[in-house]
Amino acid sequence: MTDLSHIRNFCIIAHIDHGKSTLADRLLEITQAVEKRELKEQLLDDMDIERERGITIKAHPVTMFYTGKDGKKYTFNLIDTPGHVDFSYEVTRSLAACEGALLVVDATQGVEAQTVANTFLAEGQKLTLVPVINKVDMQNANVEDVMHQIEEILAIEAIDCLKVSAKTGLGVPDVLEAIIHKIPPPVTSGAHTRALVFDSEFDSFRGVITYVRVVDGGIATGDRIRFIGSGNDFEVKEVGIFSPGLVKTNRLGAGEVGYLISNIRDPAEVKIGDTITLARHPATEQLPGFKDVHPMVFSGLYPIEASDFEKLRFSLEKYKLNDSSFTYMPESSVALGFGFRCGFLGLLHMEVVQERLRREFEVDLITTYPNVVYKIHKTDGTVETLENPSRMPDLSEIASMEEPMIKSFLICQNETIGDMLQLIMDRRGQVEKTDSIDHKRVMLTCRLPLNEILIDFHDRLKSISRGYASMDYEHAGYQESDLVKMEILVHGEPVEAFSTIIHRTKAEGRGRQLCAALKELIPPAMFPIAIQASVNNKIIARETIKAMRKDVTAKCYGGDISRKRKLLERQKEGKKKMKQIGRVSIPQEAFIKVLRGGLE
Amino acid sequence: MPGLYLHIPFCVRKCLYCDFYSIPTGKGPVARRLGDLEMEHQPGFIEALDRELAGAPEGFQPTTVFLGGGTPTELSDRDFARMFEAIHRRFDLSRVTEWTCESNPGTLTETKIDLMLAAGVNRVSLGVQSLTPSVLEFVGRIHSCEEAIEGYELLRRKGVRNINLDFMYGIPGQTLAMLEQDLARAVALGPEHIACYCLIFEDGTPLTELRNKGYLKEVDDDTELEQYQRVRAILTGGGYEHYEISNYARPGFQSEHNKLYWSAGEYLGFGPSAHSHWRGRRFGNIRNLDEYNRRLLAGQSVVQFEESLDPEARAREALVMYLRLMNGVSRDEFRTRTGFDYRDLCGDTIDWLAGIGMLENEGDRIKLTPQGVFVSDAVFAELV
Repeated sequence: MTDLSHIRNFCIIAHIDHGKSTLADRLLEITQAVEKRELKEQLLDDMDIERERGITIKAHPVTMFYTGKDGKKYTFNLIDTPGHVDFSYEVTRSLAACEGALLVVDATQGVEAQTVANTFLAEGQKLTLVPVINKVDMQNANVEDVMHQIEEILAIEAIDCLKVSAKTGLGVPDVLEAIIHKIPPPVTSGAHTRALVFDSEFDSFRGVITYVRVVDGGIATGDRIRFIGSGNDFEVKEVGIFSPGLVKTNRLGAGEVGYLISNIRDPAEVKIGDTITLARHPATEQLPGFKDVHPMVFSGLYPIEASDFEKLRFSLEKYKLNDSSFTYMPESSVALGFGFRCGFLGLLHMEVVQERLRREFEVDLITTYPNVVYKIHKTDGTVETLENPSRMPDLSEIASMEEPMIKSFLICQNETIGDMLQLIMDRRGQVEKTDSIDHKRVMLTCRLPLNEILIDFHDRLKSISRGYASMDYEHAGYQESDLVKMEILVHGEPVEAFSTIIHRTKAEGRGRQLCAALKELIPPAMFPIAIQASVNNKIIARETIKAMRKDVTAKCYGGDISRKRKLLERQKEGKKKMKQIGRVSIPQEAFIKVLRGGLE
Repeated sequence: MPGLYLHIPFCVRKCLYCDFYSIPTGKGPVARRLGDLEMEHQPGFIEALDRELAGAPEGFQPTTVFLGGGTPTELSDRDFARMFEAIHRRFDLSRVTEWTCESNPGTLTETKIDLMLAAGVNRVSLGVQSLTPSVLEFVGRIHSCEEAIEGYELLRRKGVRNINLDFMYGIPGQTLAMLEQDLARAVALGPEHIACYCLIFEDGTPLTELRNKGYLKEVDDDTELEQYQRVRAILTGGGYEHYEISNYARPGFQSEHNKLYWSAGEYLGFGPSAHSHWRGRRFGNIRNLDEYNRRLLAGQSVVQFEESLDPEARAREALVMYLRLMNGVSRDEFRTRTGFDYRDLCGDTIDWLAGIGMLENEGDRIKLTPQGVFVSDAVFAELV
């Protein structure tokens, strides 16, 4: 049996800004795995949007070599995890490649929502957690309280937890020793080779670079490998480790973390969580936890300039090469022209993708109001998933509907708890548990419809708490819900693009809001225009646009009739550019504003 | 029955709202009060105009003449006389029934009136705009209320039997009371014709610039509509027939020349920026006096814009122009004029517009309803 006692595979989990990157820097520095300058690019490559929302970009794994105080040489593999549970599946796969995790908590901030969510995920993967209290050198550090929080909230023994300052390096050598002594080495049992795919990236020259953690056996250059999940075979062209760049070795053995390259041109061939085995002695059993991930949130992406459609398609193709969880397919909208319906793992995933498309590919986008995926139980006993509200079947065919839920961890100051509870109630949420974290803060564990946090929830949270609250969530299955389709009628005609699926209790408020917004956005016509919101053919909100008062050219420009005619023709053209609903012209701006949802 | 139009591109100064082509001659009110009314002679322009007149198509025999601008009476007496001389020399005026000369109170003198009458002018259009001092000052008119009334009375004394007074509403700062008083005084003066225009913020005018910079605000639509309705009530109550969106006349005094514009009639325009409609072709002259003079003296064309619409487009254009007339157009007249039946062109749209109360569609005539008038551009945009 291979001796794996010198290998430690671990990750670092922390709330944003609690010092994960800085601690990683110190570890790499001490083990001399990376030059300081390189570090910046390796681990601090955060984008603004991700920093704003408390997500960190995934970094490469890094292999470090360290000689312990016991004189033995150890190989440490630090595996980074995406920082947000929109990527919870990817997070669990990265965690599954480790035996332990350093749980970093800021001594001045204490346990935050993301600390809780990540801890639960790590425990779900049965990792050994090593608490590390960071920033202990700060004046307002409160180590005692934080230890107490770790024990109370996270139920982790904190009595001998590590106290460090990643910034100054204080206590960091102890962290290296703790990795050796507290995190168990990998174990291997099987005779057949099995390796977990925990990530991949696309290189335009070399194709897909697959990140693997070998569990049993080993993989060498020249081997024919098989992806058990997809059933595809490939020949291994290169294997190696991250040190920190790709460094060729000829073989990866059990317990080891590294990469392999095998001429795979299509990133979709490599599914995260899949198991690699050898074609000549294949293992039959996959490593546990593999699943196909399905998008939870959909939104339309349209180029502002119709001529940018091809550019957008190209950008989406390129983007998808490095994000297999993102999906898109072409769709067209009467109001917005040609675009794509895109699927995301969650709200933050959506924001990150949209922001990246804007920034990296410089495409001006219209993004439509996001919607979740509903489950419809039809009267004929079948179950349908509904990704696009406009495809909702006729009411008579629907027995019941379900909507996706989340379990949310929300940490706030005691004095804002009233407003928080109000916000949660407004969003149809239920508080399941209240834990006080210290004498100033409380954690609310609540169940919310995913639908209700898609728009504006995070901003409201931050504004209520003046920036102090933190929130994280995990998906929590589906739940039956009293959902209705709300239609907007303009001058008696339904406008499909404005239809939404909404909880019955929310319909009236949203209906009023939409009608009021459209009243400002639709230009007056020669006749009064009724704008109505309707649910099941019942009008629940109404506004009226008064008939236009004046549209007349008093004088006639002498004999310059051509000028007058051209002005009228331009007016007619302007009308043509708008969408005609019956005899009412609705400008594109109205569609954009409503579909974006930015009506408040 | 074609018309003849001459554009005289001079004004003492530009009014704030005006986007017609004219050149301010810049004589201030002090010089004028001192009796220095003569602007410099414009021999080049009169000569160029004469050359352009010479190029008119063979057989052109106008039935109406309209001298507009600018301000025709801003010409020096000598140029004014030479202009009339040229018109008489170049055209057979034996069939002319209506000859209008535009003027404004600040430039109207006995000599000018004498010259007009001698030439055959039988209708004078006076740009009064308002009889409220603050309003006149605001829009930048050069005359006072008293001068306007004096000018009117002078025309009467000289025997002018057909006078139009131009008024405006929708002017920032103009109250409904001011407007009512203006029109009551106008009716009391008793001109044969009153044109009352809603102020338009045209691109490129100082007025629009002031608005864009936030120094003034446009009058809101509701107020303008109310003013329009008051205008209509006062003038029709005063015995004037409302016969075009902005025009009112005593019976028998509608402007025959302007009606050519609204009924697909033919006319030839001369002078910088003047437009013509002749034998299915619309064309317009260059808007630049120096270039106009230079080209004509060099024997070149001054036409800068030209279009020949296909028959259907021409018919649609005719339809919306006809509808500016309160009496609209009869199916027969329209067919005779354009060769099209308006029901074939846009019968469905006409029915729909009638259904929402914008058009009257009774028997074989269509016209705007009273509600349709003030949103007529929206109506026309459906039909054009």
